[in-house]
Amino acid sequence: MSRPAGEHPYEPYRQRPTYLPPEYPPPPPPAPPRPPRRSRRRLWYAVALVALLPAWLGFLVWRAADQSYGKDIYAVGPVAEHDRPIDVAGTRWRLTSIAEAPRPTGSLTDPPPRGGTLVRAYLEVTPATTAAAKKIAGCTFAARDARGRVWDTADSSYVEDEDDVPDTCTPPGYSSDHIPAGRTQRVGVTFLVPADAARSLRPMVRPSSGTPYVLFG
Amino acid sequence: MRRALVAVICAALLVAVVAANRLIPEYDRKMRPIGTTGAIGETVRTSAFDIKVDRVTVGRSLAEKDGLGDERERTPGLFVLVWADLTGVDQPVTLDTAYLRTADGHRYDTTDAMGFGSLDETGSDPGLTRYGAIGFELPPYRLAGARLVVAPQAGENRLGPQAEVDLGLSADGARRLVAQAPAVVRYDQAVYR
Repeated sequence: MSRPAGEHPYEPYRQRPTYLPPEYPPPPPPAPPRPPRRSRRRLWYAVALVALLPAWLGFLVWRAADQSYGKDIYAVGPVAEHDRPIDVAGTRWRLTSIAEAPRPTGSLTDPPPRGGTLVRAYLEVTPATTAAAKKIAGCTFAARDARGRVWDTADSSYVEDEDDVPDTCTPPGYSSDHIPAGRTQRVGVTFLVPADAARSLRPMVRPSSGTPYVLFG
Repeated sequence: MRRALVAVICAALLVAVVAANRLIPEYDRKMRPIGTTGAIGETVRTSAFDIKVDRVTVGRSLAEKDGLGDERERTPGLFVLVWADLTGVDQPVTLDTAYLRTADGHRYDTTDAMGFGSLDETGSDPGLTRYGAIGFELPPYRLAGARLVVAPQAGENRLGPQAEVDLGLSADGARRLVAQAPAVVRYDQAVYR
């Protein structure tokens, strides 16, 4: 059975008299998705450029710095707590003491210059194996203060060698041999530093060339 | 019309790229040391060392002050000793590069006649000042206008510190210095102040 138009309950309401006011028209059909506007794409290009430019400049600066003078030849690697031994390069290292050295009294030694102080540090070195002992035979010592300043060991003219403790990682005397594996050797090194650096001075050792320094607390 | 404009802009940009590439400095120039200049009597500060030249002495032959015997080094030119204070900033420093640059652009490296103990070889340490001489040999007529150039690294001192010190040798001053040059100029080993 058919009904006249406008009377069917499912007939669109606009086709029949309605009580809705005219200011509420039906919603328009959804618009098809539009392609991104050209101006928006350009904005992304600009953002990419702005991001890449500093990155590129940073790379250039990094590369220049990497090639430049000042690569830290005194770079520090492992850090040992004070009095605690540390195992590096197959060898156990331990700082036993560090203190201002008395002014040399011998006629063969020079007094420290005005404003300079001598600081003496003692360490124990125990290579675990013969290979490790050979590896550390050319070890070098330096010292660093709280401001990051670094000193090599003092010239021998400032060092009063009263205690006969070697200042190298080789056996005492003029031997070019290495420390026997498992044996602990005492090493004493002296630094000539400005007086204001003495209190915060920390010795460090480079076990072999090309490795970073081990810093002792 | 618009396409033509774009083509012109592209061509112009291409030319600009080529021109910009030609403006890129050569490697040596780009990575040359970062120099600090000063004059005799001034402390020249760099990131690795401070240097203060205080005098220049010259002589026809060279001898160590406390050397044994009367050994002298001789030269067909002139020995020039530049005396200076040197202090490291944060690491031990030796002046592996040291030369005199003359007014006409010639470079004279340090003399081999000076034994161990010259300031450039001895170097110095942070907070401790060493005083000593750096020695050169050069023809007397090139002394006027000479400048001392020192740097802590030999060879490729890329972007490293460098000090250039005007020795204050005017033409008259240099002439006087040469005329009054003693037969022997003596040097001490560099020592801490």
